[in-house]
Amino acid sequence: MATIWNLYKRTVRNGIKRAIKKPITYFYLALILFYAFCIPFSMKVLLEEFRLNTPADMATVFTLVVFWLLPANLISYAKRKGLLYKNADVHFLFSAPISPKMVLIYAHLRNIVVGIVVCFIFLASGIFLFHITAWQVLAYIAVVLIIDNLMEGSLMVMLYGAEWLGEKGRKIVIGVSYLLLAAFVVLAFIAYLQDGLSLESVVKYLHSDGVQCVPIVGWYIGAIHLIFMGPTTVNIVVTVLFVIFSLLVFVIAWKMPCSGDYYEDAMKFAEDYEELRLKKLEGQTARLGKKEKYGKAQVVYKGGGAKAIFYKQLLEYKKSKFFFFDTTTLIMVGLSIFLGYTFGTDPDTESLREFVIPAVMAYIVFCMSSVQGKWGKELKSPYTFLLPDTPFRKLWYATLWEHVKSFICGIAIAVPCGIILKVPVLQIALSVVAYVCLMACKLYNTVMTEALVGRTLGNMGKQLFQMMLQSLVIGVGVMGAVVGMMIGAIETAYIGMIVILVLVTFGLMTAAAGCFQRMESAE
Amino acid sequence: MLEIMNLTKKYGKTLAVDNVSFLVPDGEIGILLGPNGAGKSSIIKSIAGLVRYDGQVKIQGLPGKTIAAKKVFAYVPEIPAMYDALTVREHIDFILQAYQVAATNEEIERLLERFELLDKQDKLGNELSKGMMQKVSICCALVVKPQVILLDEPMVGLDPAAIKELKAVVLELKSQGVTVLISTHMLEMVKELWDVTFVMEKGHIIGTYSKDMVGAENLEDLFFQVTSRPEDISQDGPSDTQ
Repeated sequence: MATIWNLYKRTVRNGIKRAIKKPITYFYLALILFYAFCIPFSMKVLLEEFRLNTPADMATVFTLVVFWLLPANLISYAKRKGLLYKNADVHFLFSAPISPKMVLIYAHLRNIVVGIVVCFIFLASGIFLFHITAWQVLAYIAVVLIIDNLMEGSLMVMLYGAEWLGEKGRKIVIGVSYLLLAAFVVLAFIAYLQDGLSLESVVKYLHSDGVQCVPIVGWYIGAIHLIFMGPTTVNIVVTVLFVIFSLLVFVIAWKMPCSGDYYEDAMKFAEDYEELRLKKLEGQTARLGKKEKYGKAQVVYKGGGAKAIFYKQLLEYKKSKFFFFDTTTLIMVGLSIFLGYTFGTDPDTESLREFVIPAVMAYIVFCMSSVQGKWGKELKSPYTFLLPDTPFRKLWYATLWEHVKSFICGIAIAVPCGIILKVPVLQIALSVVAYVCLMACKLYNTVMTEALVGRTLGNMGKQLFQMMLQSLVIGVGVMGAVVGMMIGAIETAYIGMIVILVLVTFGLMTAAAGCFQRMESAE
Repeated sequence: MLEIMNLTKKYGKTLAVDNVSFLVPDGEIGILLGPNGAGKSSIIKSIAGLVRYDGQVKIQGLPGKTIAAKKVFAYVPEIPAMYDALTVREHIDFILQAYQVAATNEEIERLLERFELLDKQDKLGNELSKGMMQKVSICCALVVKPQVILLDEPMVGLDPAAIKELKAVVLELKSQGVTVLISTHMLEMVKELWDVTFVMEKGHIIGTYSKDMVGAENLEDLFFQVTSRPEDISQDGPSDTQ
């Protein structure tokens, strides 16, 4: 235990030492302090106004948290995917003479520490916002800090480390966990049939005896109810069951043998997670443990120089299962239909219908984080820099497919919504063109941001910088639209905006190409 | 002594290692040779207890997954990974505590000096190059004074001085009675080290040679005789990963 505790302590200590040298840490700290000061006071006013400031309301909040976290944790432990090991853990811990159970506890230490911090935040909120009493504080600490940690830690050790359970046994545990979730869903459905859907019916459901009778998760909720809402026959019985169950799993976890069979799964998860982390850092999309499958395809290369990048990307897209379409395209279509019906059926919003599409597009461009597609990889490849062509052409052909994707995405947003809202065809077409321009600006902004501040700012800093540039672009575009609106109607506003955005895009692209004379600026 | 008995390793339905047995006696250097995908890495990971397997691994006569066996065993993985927030020295301190081995400051500094890490002991894990990480990994394995040591492609990423030092270290370990198993593609790098060589192909050991048995015959010639595929291996070729 001393070994893993020292490792944990040193890692945290050095991490803090490193963090205090970075200016961004103080920015985050100021932000946290600001929220820590503002949220409780604003919440207090809000909760008092809606008379939601009793210990019973604390039970409601806590029940929701348990619903949210505990079943998901149990399922991930049973799948041996709940604990995060780094590659360094695999290298040093897995082959060292440390008990595999201790290695599990080491990974769980991070969860425990976060859990303790969250627990004390809840406790402070309980005292300040929900007026809980001293004995409730003590009981809360006993149940949440001691018994819950004991139960969750023991279950984690059991589900990860129980070699006797085997693959089939683990699948049964996963199945049982889903059954528990299904029990909550069935109870919710019954409650809906009886009481309909309202805030009161949801609260009634969360406090119902049925919920508290569901094994493990419900028992924990029962214990919380006993503390904050007073004793009932049901919550006393389930609390006793919860304590017995916690002790039982603790004894099993303590006694059972564990030789480290889970290392293989943990190692695989560590590799997958590291891959995912690196991809996300590079702004790419990826799914944990899922490798993209490629089919067979061919392209005929036409032209030379940087144009080869365009055809290479075409070949990659042709090999992909859905070309360059993904779930985002479907979400956009769904969102477009939803907005179309929402605004199309509400007579109060009739005058706003023409502005729905541009507003949604502006929101997507401004608020959704930019995912680097294939072009991002091109700009990090040495071959891109070695190709005998001009930087402008390289940037253009590396990003050309992104403009095509923006065009398709623009159609997905504008066309269904436009048809439902009966927006004129010209307006729909112009909105698609405007969207392509805005996305192009965003793309070249990303390139510029990477080249200008990529080495000095962290991810958050880069995003803020990019948002600043993007808001400038949207601002300039809006000015063009206002001028166009003053001259004529909404169509001229679109044209004004498009003209301005095309000019800005071209300027940004030229500047971005200038930044990519050397590979150094892309790293 | 390192004993592998009827080791079988499957990844889903793929059979990576099929009922392999071999033994490296005390104070001898064993070499695991084979083309890409032969199953070397699976054997190495099984011995290190990183993957599930069927069969038996014994380290100094002890079952491989027991704490007692792990205490006398050290492992240098093919791709080293450091804790970002720990310094080189803190990695060594951690390993000493984990293995409950005592080492004087002079011993540690001498070891770091041998691998040109003495002036880098305060560098954090995320400040090290791949070659330096490999050196730290080797130092961590050596500092616990193991009786059995497993080196997976240990020369990859090392500079010529470090390769020379590592070879000297391996011969020293042998003279101290330590059992060494090296998995490598680089025949040239191990030709003066080996006592026994196991040639693998498609999950099987297809040839076992001891130095006494083959006399002056070249290790490279032996390898190509049994595998008959000279294009599969190069003297400084890429490493094998499973």
